[in-house]
Formats: sequence, C-alpha cells, structure tokens
Amino acid sequence: MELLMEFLYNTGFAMVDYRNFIMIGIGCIFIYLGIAKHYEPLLLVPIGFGILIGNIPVFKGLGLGIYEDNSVLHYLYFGVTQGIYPPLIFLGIGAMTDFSTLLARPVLMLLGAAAQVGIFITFLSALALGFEPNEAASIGIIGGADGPTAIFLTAALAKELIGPIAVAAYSYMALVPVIQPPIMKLLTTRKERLIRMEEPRTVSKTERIIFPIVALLLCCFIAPAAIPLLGMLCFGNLLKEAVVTERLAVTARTAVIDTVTILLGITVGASTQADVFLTPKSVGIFVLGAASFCVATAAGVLFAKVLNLFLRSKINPLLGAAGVSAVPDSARVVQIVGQQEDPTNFLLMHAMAPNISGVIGSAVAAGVLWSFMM
Amino acid sequence: MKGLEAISYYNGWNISATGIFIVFTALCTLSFIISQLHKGLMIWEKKEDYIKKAGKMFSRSKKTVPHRKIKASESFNESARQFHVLIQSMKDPFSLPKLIMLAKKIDLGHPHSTVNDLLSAKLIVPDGKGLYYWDHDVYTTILEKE
Repeated sequence: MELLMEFLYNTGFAMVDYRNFIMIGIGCIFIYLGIAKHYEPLLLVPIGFGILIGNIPVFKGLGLGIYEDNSVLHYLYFGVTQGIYPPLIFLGIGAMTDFSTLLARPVLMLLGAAAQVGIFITFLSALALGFEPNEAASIGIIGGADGPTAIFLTAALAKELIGPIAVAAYSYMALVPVIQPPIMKLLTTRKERLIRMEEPRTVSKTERIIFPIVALLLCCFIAPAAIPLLGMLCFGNLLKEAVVTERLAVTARTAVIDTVTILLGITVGASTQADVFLTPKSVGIFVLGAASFCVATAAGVLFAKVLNLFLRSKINPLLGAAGVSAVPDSARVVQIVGQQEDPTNFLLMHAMAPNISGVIGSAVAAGVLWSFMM
Repeated sequence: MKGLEAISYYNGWNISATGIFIVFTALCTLSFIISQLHKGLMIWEKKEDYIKKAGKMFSRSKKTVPHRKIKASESFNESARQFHVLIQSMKDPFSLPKLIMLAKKIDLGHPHSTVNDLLSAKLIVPDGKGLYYWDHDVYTTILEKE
C-alpha cells in the first residue's frame, strides 16, 4: 500500500498545478491553429506538442525535464541554447529561396530595411519597461518576425528568455494573417492599394549566382556578427543557384531543414515549463512582441509611401508590410489584401522581394544588437 | 530603473539610432550594388566588343585621316562639268558660299556634298585668302581619263 501511495505521489496528477493546465491549453491551441487553421503548421504543431511534453509534471532528479542536465531533451535543447539550429534553418531557407524578384527591383530591398525599425523601437520600449539591455535586445528582435533569428540572438544574449521569446516570435509569425491586414488597411488609401506593379525584368543565372556572394561579403563586412545566419543563408542560396550542387541544395531544403525544424519546435515547446514560462516577464515579452510586430508592419508600409514620393514608377505600399521577414506568410497577406481591392492584381511575386530582404535585414539587425551587447 | 531614464542610462537612443543606420546602410549599399550588377555583367559579357571599339578609337586617333579618293564616276564627272560651267560665270577667285547659293538657285543636286567632293579631288583649290579657284589642269586630267 505504501509503495502504491509513493507511486501515486510521483505521478503527474499529484504534482500538477493550475499553471501546467494553462500551458497544456496553450499547447492544444497551437496544435489546433496549425492543423485546423493552417497557421504555420510546420512550426506550431511541433511547438504545441513540445509544450505538452514540457508541461507534464515530472519528478525532479530523474533526468527527464529539459532543464535537467543529462536528460535527452536537454541534449536536444543544446542546439537551441548554443545557437546551432537557427543557422541550419537559414541554410535550408537559402536553398529554397529565389532572389530573382529582389534582383529585378532592388529598390524594394529598402522596405525590408524600414521594417527593421520595429526592432529598435521595441528595444527602446523594453528598456523603458525595466528590462535589462540584453533582454530588451532579445525582445526587440521579435519585431523582425523571424523565429530562427530571435532564437539565435536570445541564445546569445538572454538564454533564460528563449522559451517565451521563441513562442512569442512563432505565435506572431503564425498570426501574420490576423495582425497585419488591419494595420495595412489603416495606413493606406484604396487608391494606393490598387497600384499595379511593373513587370520585373528577367534576371540572368550569373546574377543569381553572384548575389549570395556579394550579399554575404557586404553585409558581413558591415555587421560581422551576422555571419552565422547570413553565411548559411547565402551558402544555401549559392548551392541552389550553382545547379552543379543541386544534390546538396535538395538535402538542405528538405532533410536538413525538416529535421532541424522538428528538433527546434519540440525543444522550444518543451522549454515552456509553466514554472519558467508563466512569469510577469513573459507577459511583458508577449505584449512587447505584439507591439514590435505592429510597429514593424507600419514602418514598412509608411516607408513605401515615402518612397513613392520620389519614384517615377510607384510601388504598392502594401508591399511594405512584407518587409517583416515572416517568409512567405507576410507576402501572402499582401497578395490577399491587394486582391480584396482588385482581384486581378497579383502582388505575391513582388512582395517576395521585401520579404526576403527582411530576412537579410533582421539578420543584420541581430548581428548589430549582438555586437552592441557584447 | 524605468522609463526614459532607463533608456538614457543604457545608451538606448544611441544604440537604436546607430543600429537603424547600420541596417539601412547595409541594405542600401547592397541594393545599389545589385541594381548595377546586371550592367556590369553586360559589359563583362561583351568585353571583346568593347576592347575592339576602344582599340579602333585609339588607332584612329594616331593615324592621319586618309584623303578620300574620289572615283571619277560618271555622276562625279557630270557634276564637275556643271560646276565648271557655273564657276565660269563667276569671277576667279570665287567664294564657296556664293557658289553653293548659285548651285541651289539653278537646282543642282546636293551642292554641299558635290562641292566637298570637288574640294577632295582638288578641282576646287583654296587660294589661301579665304577664296577658291578652279584648277583647270586637274579638270583636264579627269576629262582625259574619261
């Protein structure tokens, strides 16, 4: 009888508290959004399931929890805390990204730069709310709308915040179709939303091969701390464009990125143990993350309107919203909002340019913040 | 510490301003370079043509321009005859603008280019004082060759 009672005391039912239930509820919502609503399913399903794993109460000392040394989850989490997974994801992203639209109209790259303003404004807001500079920088990067970049910078600057920041970043990335359209509509007139973009010119293969090399050298000479992310992004893209390395490119954009996404998602989810995750700081991170995302979207749209004052061939200001680097969701949102006004206006291809430049911009911003905080 | 005080204490304003500046600089420079990339590549792909053109320009500047040899074609000889008649009605030496004006008056075809050909063939020769005279010897030679 005593043995049975001891066993019962060690079950999850005996150790659970209400915070675990809250987190399990959040995990279920993530899984629901991923499967039923198709919001970033490749990320939300692993993270949601990871939240379930991480919030099953376990007996401390058995080496089961993600924060316990020598546990399997702890080893898998090593890739997150040491910033190994994000560059590998960037390798895959590079191997699946076509930079042609960006090369055809380079001015759209500036929209990707403008959207990064959100990062720095949120950094200031976080400082004002009492966060330490390292934490503020990690929170600010949520505005880049780039999960791997957010995890990479947080792993370098504020390891203890990886869970909330990763969950916030991926949640907002998944909620791009909900967050962005009202801001886009608020800041643009119908006439502006109806603007049609010029057909882009054809980009040669040589240009596509040279671009990752030039981008890497230039951006990393300016912000060397961006090397792990931009290095892998550009390398992946070179593998794709070189054609002769197609086998490696295929592996990078399938096996590598899929494996890493699974490991990243599940371990980030598991790191959200209720006692670590449900803190006032996490609430602050979520609020600031949402603000960061909104500011980044607004900055991109407004900058597009400013650019139009100087351009002969006007650009549709909705494209500015794609400057946040949630690839390709924010580009899809631009297409949807544009087509609500004119169903024959196809903006997706054009929106990919600021979208991709947003990836480069957020990686540079992360590098800059990292170097300032070192 | 909170609020603006915290931002100032942690040098937040400078970090943000510098950060935004660096991100913009990086992407603007990259944008400029890739906007010029295809032009550079076009020059590189047609480099042989450009080298040839440059070579030609260089050699042309060194050599003296050869005199155009005027072939004594039938139309040239006919033009020479017409202008000879016209010049006989003028006093020697004569002025070229006057000659061209007269040629235009009597509807001779292409007076400017014909006068140029006559100058090249040394049928019309400058007297060194701004006027011209008709070289009868050259004219006779051309007629003999005919």
